[in-house]
Amino acid sequence: MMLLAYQLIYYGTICLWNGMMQVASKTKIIDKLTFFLLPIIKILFPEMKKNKQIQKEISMNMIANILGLGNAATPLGLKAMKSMQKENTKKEVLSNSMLMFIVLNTASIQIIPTTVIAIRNSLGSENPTAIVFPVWIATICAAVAGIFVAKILIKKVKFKNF
Amino acid sequence: MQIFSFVSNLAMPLVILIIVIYGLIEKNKVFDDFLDGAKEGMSIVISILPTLIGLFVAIGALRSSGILDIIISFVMPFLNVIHFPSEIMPLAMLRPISGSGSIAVATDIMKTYGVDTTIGMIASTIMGSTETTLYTIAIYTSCVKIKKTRFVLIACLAADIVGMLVSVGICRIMS
Repeated sequence: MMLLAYQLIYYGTICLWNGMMQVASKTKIIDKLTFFLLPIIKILFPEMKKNKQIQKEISMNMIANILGLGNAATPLGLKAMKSMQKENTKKEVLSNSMLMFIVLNTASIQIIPTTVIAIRNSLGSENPTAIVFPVWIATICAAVAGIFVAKILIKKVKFKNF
Repeated sequence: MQIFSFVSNLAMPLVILIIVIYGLIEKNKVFDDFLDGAKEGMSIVISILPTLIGLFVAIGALRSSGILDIIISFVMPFLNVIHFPSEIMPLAMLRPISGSGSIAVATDIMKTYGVDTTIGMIASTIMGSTETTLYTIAIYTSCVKIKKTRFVLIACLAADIVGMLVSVGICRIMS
């Protein structure tokens, strides 16, 4: 029952953040934020160069991840996945952009690892935030490794083999 | 230190507030927009729910049946060669597949070996720098009904492995 209650709350947050995204996407903040992330997005998602809407959704997801808003990042990411699926030519196979997007999300780059700090605090650590710097280094290395492997495999492995 | 927890507590409500205020300033129908988006969220929930139920049951079975422990005992000799601390191993195995499970294991490691010891720091860093990879792949692909995931698992696990090795390395250097 605990799990069920937890799940219901979780699905509620998906609806909440989809709603917030809808409100945000009609304002100009997203355009401004997307502008800063655009160079990175263009490198990682070359297929989406011309699609402004998808770029917006990707940047929203990236911002939520960076701020450590895990609950918000997932629904925003799912929305971006849906939009990318519309552009996908083979509906049952992951497109290159979707693949890169998933890799980026599993690497979860964040400025403040809130969950771990909370756990460390609850266990009576003398310095709960001491891990912030190591986490930055590790998460950036992980993200770079993931992107690197994905880019290489996209180039080397032929589409039809999968 | 205090400021970190203050900032992280403030982040969520602040983001919502900024979005709503911006919407009001630009004279949009904020609540109508919100309802449209939230309804769309409902359809996402329905599309990922079956996958999640299957995944949770499978992972639960893998853990309680002891199969995971057997796999760990097989991998252990290889990790000893590169001096990967064996205390961290259960966490490293569980981290990509179960979010709640890995939090439980990490908390346990920190309690047993001390939060501020090298082992405790490594466990914390791994928790902070990696994500529940399998779960993320499952919901992201199932919400758009993708059947063939190509090599996404390889790329994501490569990221996880590098993240964990770097976590071990950097905590050893710092302590």
